[in-house]
Amino acid sequence: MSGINPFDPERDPALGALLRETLTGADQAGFLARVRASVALTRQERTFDVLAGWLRPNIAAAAAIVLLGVAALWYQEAKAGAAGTATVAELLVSDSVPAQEILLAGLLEAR
Amino acid sequence: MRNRDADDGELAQAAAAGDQAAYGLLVEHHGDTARRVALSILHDEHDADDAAQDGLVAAWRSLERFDPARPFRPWLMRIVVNAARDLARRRSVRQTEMVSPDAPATGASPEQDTERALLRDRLRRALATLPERQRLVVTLFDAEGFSHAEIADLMGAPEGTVRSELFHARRALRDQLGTVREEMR
Repeated sequence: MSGINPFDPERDPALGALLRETLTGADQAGFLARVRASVALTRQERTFDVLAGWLRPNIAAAAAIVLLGVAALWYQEAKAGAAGTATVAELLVSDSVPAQEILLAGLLEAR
Repeated sequence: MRNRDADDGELAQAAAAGDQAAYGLLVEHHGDTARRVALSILHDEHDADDAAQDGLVAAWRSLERFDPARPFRPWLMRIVVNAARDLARRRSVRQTEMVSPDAPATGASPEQDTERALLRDRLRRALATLPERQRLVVTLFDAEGFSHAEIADLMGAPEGTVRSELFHARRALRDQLGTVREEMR
């Protein structure tokens, strides 16, 4: 074994055989049986599963963003709507000249 | 080796389609290598078997991602190495010696058997003193027949690093094993 040449680019069969003897575990048949049993109980991942796993949180995040956007839009419209519903009296006393349609709409709504 | 790669490729494709028997054959072909590679990282035989099993099952789960144009064995061993490293991280390293419970009968004389047993014992101790990468490289190259390029790919390291690790591992093993014959006299 003193013949191991660290510079040798080829495999050292003697060292390889000794390594295999040293590292080979007992009961190979039992080990293989355990692996086969585990494999039988394990489902393979499919691309769809991987995509679904990846998509699920992203879809949830996208839905949350859409909901927030809708809520923000609704709030802004409600706010603008509240600001836009000035009474006819307010329009008449304001300095600016109100458009005829707005005045007419205000009067019709009042009825 | 070429035929073996082709066979492995066909079996892997069948296994990827859900054929458990095909995967059983692949496990039969590479299970012993997986155990040795895991043991070269973990020292403890039970931990090594757990890691090898984890790696083989993980490979089965993700077979759809295996590229049949490439050799199967390095792909499989990369997963086993990762499983062994993961287990090494999760568990505190138990300072037990690597086990070689059933020393193979060689049919040699009692003196030769004694020398062989002494060599195995010395090798176990010598391996335990090497850094993990060196143990892995010398096991993959000299015991399992991987090429430098395959080991480099498997470890995610340059080929020059693999050659250097192999050189240092062999030199350390030579230093520690070289005196066995003299001790026997």
